[in-house]
Amino acid sequence: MVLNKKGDEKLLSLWWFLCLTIVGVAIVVGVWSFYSADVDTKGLEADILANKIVHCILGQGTLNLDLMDNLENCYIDKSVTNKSQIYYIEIKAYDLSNCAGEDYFKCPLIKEKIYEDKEKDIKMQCELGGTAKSKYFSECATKKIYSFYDGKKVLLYVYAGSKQQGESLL
Amino acid sequence: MHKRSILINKKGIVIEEIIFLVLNLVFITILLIFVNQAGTGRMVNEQAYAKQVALMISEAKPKMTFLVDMGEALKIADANKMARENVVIIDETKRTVNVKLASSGGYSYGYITSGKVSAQLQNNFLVVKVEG
Repeated sequence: MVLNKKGDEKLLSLWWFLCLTIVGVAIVVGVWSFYSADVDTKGLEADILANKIVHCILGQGTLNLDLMDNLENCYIDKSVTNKSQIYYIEIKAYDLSNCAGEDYFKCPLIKEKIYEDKEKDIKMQCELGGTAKSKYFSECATKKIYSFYDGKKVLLYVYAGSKQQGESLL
Repeated sequence: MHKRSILINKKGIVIEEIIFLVLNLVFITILLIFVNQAGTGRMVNEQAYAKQVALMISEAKPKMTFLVDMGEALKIADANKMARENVVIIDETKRTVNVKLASSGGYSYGYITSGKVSAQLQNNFLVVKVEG
């Protein structure tokens, strides 16, 4: 095919705009992916939730296990404990008085309360965290506190999970 | 030869070349505006401030007041001509902190604390009161 000068110029300008588009798209994708980076705070939130529960139940050093049934008294909103879609809470008190060994899960339970999430997948996602990871998976925190209750040596175990992603507004 | 002469003006500049140059300039300008807008970090800052304030409210004990330095966020909001009183809004019904640094967009993050929460800007600081 023989092209005259004009044809050459047209082909060149087409090629030039194709190059510009490729460079432009690359810059836009790069900048977008860098500046839309996600700030992941699910682990922090789970830790705050577990801490809040421990500080509330432990109070001034003595356990008040009745508070386990109503966390609103711990200044935790009812939307967190009422079949929440983004929070999971598990509170257990183990009697360690007549329990030998380090496996406290085998010790007698004094009291247990679980506030499950609606879809029942937060704990599972946290347990999966070691083998499979996703930025959409929930994150959990565990707190273990030793104390006394009715003259017994007690372990307070709190497990809290969050999968709050936050949302962009329009 | 006759057709080509139509595209050349009196000074001898080819109109095609002018169009080519203008299109290049338009493309580069759009790209620079996008990079400049994105480079302010509006989206990341909205998310970071919303999460920071919400997590501090979650962690706060009743009758606690704390200050959050909003200097960086307010610079971006001022550049985008966003009214300062609308930068941080506490939605007590949904229990969320909403941060907007431009007229469009914004970010919302929930907190776990019950009770009344209020926030007010004083100079560059957000004063947050958790009543409990």
